[in-house]
Amino acid sequence: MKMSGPMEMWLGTLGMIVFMGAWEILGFTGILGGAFPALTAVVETVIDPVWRDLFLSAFGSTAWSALQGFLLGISLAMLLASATVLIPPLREGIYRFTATMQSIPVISLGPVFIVTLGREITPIAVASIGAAFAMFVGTTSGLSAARVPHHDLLSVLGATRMQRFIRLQLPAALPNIADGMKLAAPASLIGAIIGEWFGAPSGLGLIIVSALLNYQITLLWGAALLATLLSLSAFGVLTIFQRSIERRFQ
Amino acid sequence: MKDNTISYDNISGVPSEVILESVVKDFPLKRSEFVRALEGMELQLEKGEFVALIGPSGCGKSTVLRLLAGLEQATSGIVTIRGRSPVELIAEHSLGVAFQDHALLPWLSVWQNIALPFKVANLPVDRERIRYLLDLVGIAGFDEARPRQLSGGMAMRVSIARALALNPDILLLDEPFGALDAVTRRRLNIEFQGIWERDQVTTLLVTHSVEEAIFLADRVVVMSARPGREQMICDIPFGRPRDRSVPRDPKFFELTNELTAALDVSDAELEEMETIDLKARIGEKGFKT
Amino acid sequence: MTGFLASSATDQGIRWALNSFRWALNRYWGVILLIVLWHAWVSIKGYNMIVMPPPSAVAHELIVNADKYIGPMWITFLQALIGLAGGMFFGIALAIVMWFSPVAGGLITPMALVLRSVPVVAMIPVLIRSIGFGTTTVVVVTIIITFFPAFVLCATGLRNLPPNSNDLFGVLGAGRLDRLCRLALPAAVPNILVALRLTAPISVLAAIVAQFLMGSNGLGLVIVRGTWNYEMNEAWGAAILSCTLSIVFFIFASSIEQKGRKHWT
Repeated sequence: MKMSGPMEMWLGTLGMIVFMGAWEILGFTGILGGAFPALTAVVETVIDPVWRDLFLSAFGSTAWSALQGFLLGISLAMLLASATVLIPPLREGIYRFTATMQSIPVISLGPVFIVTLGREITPIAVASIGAAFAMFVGTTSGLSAARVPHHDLLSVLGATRMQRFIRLQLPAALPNIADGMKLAAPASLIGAIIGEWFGAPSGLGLIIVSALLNYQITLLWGAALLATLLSLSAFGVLTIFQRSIERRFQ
Repeated sequence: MKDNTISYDNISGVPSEVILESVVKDFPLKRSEFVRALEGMELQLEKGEFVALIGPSGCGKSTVLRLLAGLEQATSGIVTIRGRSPVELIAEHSLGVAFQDHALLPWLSVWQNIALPFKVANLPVDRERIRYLLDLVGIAGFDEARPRQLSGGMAMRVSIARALALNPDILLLDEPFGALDAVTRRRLNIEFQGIWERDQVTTLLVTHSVEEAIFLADRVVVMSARPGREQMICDIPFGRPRDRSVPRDPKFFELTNELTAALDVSDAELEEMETIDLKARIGEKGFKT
Repeated sequence: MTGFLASSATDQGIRWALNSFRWALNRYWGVILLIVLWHAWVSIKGYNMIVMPPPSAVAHELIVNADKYIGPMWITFLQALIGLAGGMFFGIALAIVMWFSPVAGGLITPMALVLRSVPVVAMIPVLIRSIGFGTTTVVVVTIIITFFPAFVLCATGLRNLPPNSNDLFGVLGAGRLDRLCRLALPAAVPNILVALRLTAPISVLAAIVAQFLMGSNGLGLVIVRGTWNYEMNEAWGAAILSCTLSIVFFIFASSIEQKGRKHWT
């Protein structure tokens, strides 16, 4: 059964309403225990003047770190990915390197960064690593997305490796690159928050950890909610970006 | 869509096995527009008859087949097989179909693919029948092979064997040999003729190839396009069984010319068809070539 | 005579060794470089053990005190495995539910999207507070993280049918259950295996992050304990073991995927 667009939207909205309603009821009645607050209680805490400024500055701080990490990470990833294409002998090594880096638990890099880079830079560094992983896979698969007939065409036209890269592989890679960016955004946010756990002066990650340890439930949920909103909006912006790229390049 | 009028087109007074009468089929596009694929389509098949349906691209011949296969419903008109609707025949598992894409399930062996109709119909797998079919289409010994190991021609044979598995009342073939190269195609045509000879199932073949239609069929129906309807019916004079000598017969050559000419459309018509086609594609968002 | 033969055997041996070395170098120069840089950095900056131990110290710790790590490693392995299995199971189950009922799908999808956007690092503390400190939470966290890729990939896989096969089943008169079990699910298997390959390494890391935050058990505990007690050798040792476990999971899942792909398509 195929569903029409508007019908999907109605169902989706209905689903969201049911979800929020259930949350409210479950939290209000306390069925799931004291650690599960009602939606309204969480929202109240966030807009409460006592906490509002804290949340606002934390939101901005985390968003800013995540953004810097995002930009740094995707640039790094695109550089590395381009290297695998432009300098073939390096390819295997770079792949193994990234695969290994990917399996290092980021939390153990925390202490390293704190010591070498300082408390302020650590969130950015961890965010950039998260973003780089997501972006690397997308970019490498994108750079090999150009089809054989097109490659043959460039060969016959006598293109150098760099020309082939700029005129064929890069444009052909753009849809996958946009997809990679879409995935890198939430990853950089997660990285920023993890980085903040190791002693950042401010940020949502800080609130989360301290609220966790001090049993401040609504604060904890409030920070989680804001982090989710941040993630959703970043994802949304980049999805729009991705759609426009797809329309242009496919 | 039940209608009790019976067609007495033939001399014996027995109603035709397969009847399409005044069939109209519309397909909806976005924004409540529709494209009329068939209008006033008439077609009849007698029991045991082999009819080929040819026509220019997009004339709706595949739509006719899909109506008979119960995969689409006619917007109006009569579509019956033995007086019943295709949907009923599906419930009785007495339709056999082979598509241009062989549609073999890649995770099943040849044997399991042919056994599939039995399983879906909740019938015990008739091993004798499967062995008979494997022999009939010429792939005995390949029971355990996987579809990916087969050539295009072999895969098509399996597809045909599967279509015949449950002794269908009617066999529907949608350009089954279309994906094969010319040499394999000709060879399979000759073999298929022999296969069909055995049981002489009522068959409708949709094809692009005039030669194939003439070689295999008792009757060739030519369709015209936009909207689709039958334009010309041609009886094939050759007796059965048919062999390699038939295509060399002057009469064969004559028929080929006649039918190919019937297929030709004028330049103006061609342009009009392409414009309609283009409009349909732009209008239908997400239309994939 | 024998002397001549013997030397040719050693020749072959040497050639094989050189070839393997060259192969390893070609593939692993990046990792080797990393270790070398690590050691160099520690030496140059003169970090003492508390700040950042050199690779040699970590290796030493792992070898000498291996028994300290085996228990936590086993616990982590189990938790990750159960979480992975659970996540795959629920992901596939929900995809099947969606397949049966597009209405349910329309209702669930936006919620799933929102839940997916909740950053893992925010979800884990919330779950810790809701469920408690302990193994259950670790497994739940791992299930949730591995759930989404399995769900999405299975849902698309159920729709990626071989060409014309849907029509075929229509003509064969197949019911819904037949369509699911004989066509859609088998068609989804390659995608499910991809989901396995993607989520296997993540399951290990998710378990460790959860353990880290809770200080409950497993390698994550060793990491956090080592960090707080300034026993960096321990922390780094556990980190490297987690790395290894993650890679082992990945290799396993990858080979299952390749074998499955060969057999299934």
